[in-house]
Amino acid sequence: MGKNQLTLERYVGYRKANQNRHTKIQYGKIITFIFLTIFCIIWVLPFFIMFLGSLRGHLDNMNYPKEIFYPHSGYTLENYKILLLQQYPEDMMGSHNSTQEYHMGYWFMNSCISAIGGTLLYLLVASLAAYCFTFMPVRGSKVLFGILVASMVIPGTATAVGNQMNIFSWGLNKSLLALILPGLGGVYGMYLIKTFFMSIPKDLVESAKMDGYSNLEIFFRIVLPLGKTVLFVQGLFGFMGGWNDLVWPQMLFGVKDNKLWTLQVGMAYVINNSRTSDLIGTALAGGVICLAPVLVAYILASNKIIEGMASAGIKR
Amino acid sequence: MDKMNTLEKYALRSSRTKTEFKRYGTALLFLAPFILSFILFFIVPLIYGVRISFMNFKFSSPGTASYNGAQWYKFIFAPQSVGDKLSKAATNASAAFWRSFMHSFIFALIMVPLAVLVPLGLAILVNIKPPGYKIFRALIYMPSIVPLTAAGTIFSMLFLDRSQHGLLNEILGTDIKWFVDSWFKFTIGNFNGDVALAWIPIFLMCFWGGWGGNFIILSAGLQNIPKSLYEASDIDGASPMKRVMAVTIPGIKGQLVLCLFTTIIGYLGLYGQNYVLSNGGPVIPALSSMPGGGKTSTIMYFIQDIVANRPTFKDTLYGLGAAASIVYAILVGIISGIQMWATRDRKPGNRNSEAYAKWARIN
Repeated sequence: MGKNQLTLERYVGYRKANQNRHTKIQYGKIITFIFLTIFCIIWVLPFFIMFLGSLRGHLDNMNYPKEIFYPHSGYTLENYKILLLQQYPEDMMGSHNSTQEYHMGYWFMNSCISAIGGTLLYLLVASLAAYCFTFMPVRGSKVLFGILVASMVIPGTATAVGNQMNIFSWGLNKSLLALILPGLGGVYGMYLIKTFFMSIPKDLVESAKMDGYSNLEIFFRIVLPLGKTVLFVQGLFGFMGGWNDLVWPQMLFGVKDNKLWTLQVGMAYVINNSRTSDLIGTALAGGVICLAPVLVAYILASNKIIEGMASAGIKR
Repeated sequence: MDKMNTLEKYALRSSRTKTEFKRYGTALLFLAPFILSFILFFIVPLIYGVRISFMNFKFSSPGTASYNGAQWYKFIFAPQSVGDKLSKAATNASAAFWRSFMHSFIFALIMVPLAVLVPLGLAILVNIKPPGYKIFRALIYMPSIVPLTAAGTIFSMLFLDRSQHGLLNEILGTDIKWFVDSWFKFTIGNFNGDVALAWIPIFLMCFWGGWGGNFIILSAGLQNIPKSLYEASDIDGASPMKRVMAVTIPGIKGQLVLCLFTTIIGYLGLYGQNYVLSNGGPVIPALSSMPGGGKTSTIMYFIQDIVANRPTFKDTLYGLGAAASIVYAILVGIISGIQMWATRDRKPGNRNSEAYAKWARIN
């Protein structure tokens, strides 16, 4: 009783203090707002530097390097023409020394095909397996799942060398399949999908079975639609991973296969060739092209993306 | 009546026609694509990789490989025990490997606390919910979606030499050769260290786009802390600092552990940033003929130099690349093993919420 009394007194004190605190809280919010505004301006500045820098001609780059936000002789598409159409300005022919042609179109398509194709295929394969582990328990499947989960401690680097050798000896090293297939063995995504599937009520699946649905029908008509969220999240991870991967494509496609390069490999090459003031604009234009699809997707669905990422983090 | 029929049918089907055999068959069909690709692209390459690391392996003619008795591991761990003929190569390879290793390790050591604490601080700020906090959240995360090479273009433009009109050099009026000069030198015992200035742009690039995921996960964790806990701590008269330490941090312990480990593993595997910005350079003259013989090379850079970037190494040092990747994998494996152990299945609700439940019961 005495304890309760004490709590009540404290509570009354708290309410009293809070009456005066009302303005104080607003004050804190304003300071936070100002701080975050400044922080975000700095944080977003590089995007503007990249975008506006890509619209600046090479002569402005050399002669008026500080005028980044409004180029001295106006905006121009010169850099994009160099990159996409190989049309160099006349006074620039000498300075360009690349040994490989730029194939931005090919690189872009390769990245799209490998990232999107790989992601969709993985989602299908992994969610089939996750469905089996969740709703069709047979003897031994728990052990198998345990082994799979335990294998997650081994990072991809351990398998990369063997994978590279295998892909080359199977003769897949001249096709985009080599970018897609090795990703299908990843356990993490399957694990994530399975964790989500476990929250789908079993009765739902069981009653569908009673109604005479086959497992495949249940999978496509009930489980997949219910698992939309996790499929979106895993799809996002898969796409970002595929789009941003540099290590694996580099291991597959050497200097001679430059039409099979992905955007990342190609861009790394472009940057290497553009470490001079008259060519850096070209690299920035490439950066814009590389970023544009991802950024558009992010702007359109940023809330969904952030919530999805968060849910994956909370789940574990 | 109708329902009865259905039930009967179901019972019949599940007892007679749906034998164990059929159940196994369907399960196998569902699992087959995944398990098959797991075996083909994980188990087989893993064993193959370990085999290669014990072989004199030539990438161009894999048939001629022969076992060499852990020679590549001696290259890494005990270069003096390799025969006279190879001793110089082994010493250099070992030096290059361990230098790259230390680079990764120290970089991760510096980066990890920053990449957890800064997003934590920002997440706490955003969680105060100032006007437009959703926009702030989106903007803070935005650099993390930028592909590596796109970020690389920005940072190489900022840090070009003065003669190439690099933006920072122009604005500050300095003439710093970011990708050539040394930052500082130091001596420990008989080891002369030399830290490249190029680590600064690499660090900034990692810092700009490196912890957005942590930020999102931590701020989601913050939103999951029950408000009543904060009220309770207010009633008890806790100061803001005390409240963060006693309520906020324990409340997001799970997320903090997750972020910590993924960040450690992420930065141990640092590769793209130094490849794009500095190409692993500036080169160390004594190690110039070795993979990863640069002042900003990392362990992944060392491996990648052998297996991808410099074609000549594929025939001479391929086994060393495999051995290095196995050593790296064991290190990362141990770390993620610890992570799995630390985040193993817990009962729902953490210590904090249990304590709160008790508190609510008493009152």
